[in-house]
Amino acid sequence: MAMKKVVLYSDFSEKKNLQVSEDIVLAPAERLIRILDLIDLHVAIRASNPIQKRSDNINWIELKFKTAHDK
Amino acid sequence: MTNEVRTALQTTCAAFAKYEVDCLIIGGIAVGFHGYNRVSHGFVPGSGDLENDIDFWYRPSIENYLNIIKALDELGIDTRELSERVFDPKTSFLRIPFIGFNVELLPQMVGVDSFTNCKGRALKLTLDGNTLFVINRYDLLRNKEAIGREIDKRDIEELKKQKPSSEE
Repeated sequence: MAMKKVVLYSDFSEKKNLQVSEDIVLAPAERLIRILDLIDLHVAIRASNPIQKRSDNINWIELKFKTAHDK
Repeated sequence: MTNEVRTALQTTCAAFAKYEVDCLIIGGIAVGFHGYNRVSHGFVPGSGDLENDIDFWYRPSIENYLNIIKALDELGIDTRELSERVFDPKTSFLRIPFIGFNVELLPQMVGVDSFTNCKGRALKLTLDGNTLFVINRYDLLRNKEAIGREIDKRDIEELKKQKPSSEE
């Protein structure tokens, strides 16, 4: 099991600068859910600020979803 | 917040399981799984530095390719072009666009052992009722060393700071 530092409590109010964290054990599925949640958050943020996809020198076969006309 | 990436992974893997598609999770999700979350380290909106794709390495065989076509067809993908192509393990890189991210299927990975050997070392887990295989940390590092882009160098540096999990 991998150890992950997880923030338990944060208080960055005017007079405090406090963050309490702890190493916890995450099961493989929990580790995957954690990264998927972060990517989902990033997708949501990026939706309003789209970026140009980097070139990776791969000649991708670009597929698409069927339209009503195709079905 | 929506769960579009997780939902796409779940529906894709369910279709892959139904049609016995043999594949491994690689790319940014594997990097995150092994301990380095690119999203939470130095995220700069609009920098072009981060991609959110779901990447799979699939067994490069004709049988598996045909299984992929069946699975993609069930997912609602227009597969007519694929059915007309001859499978080529060096060029059959497939990309399916979702809103904000892609699902990408790669027939090969550079710098690593065979698919069979890497699958044997992969981490197996169950998520949302699907059995998934995530590329082993060691194989992921070897692949990134072989590719050698800036993003790969940073991934290597950060992954090497992480302790391997006990399953590896």
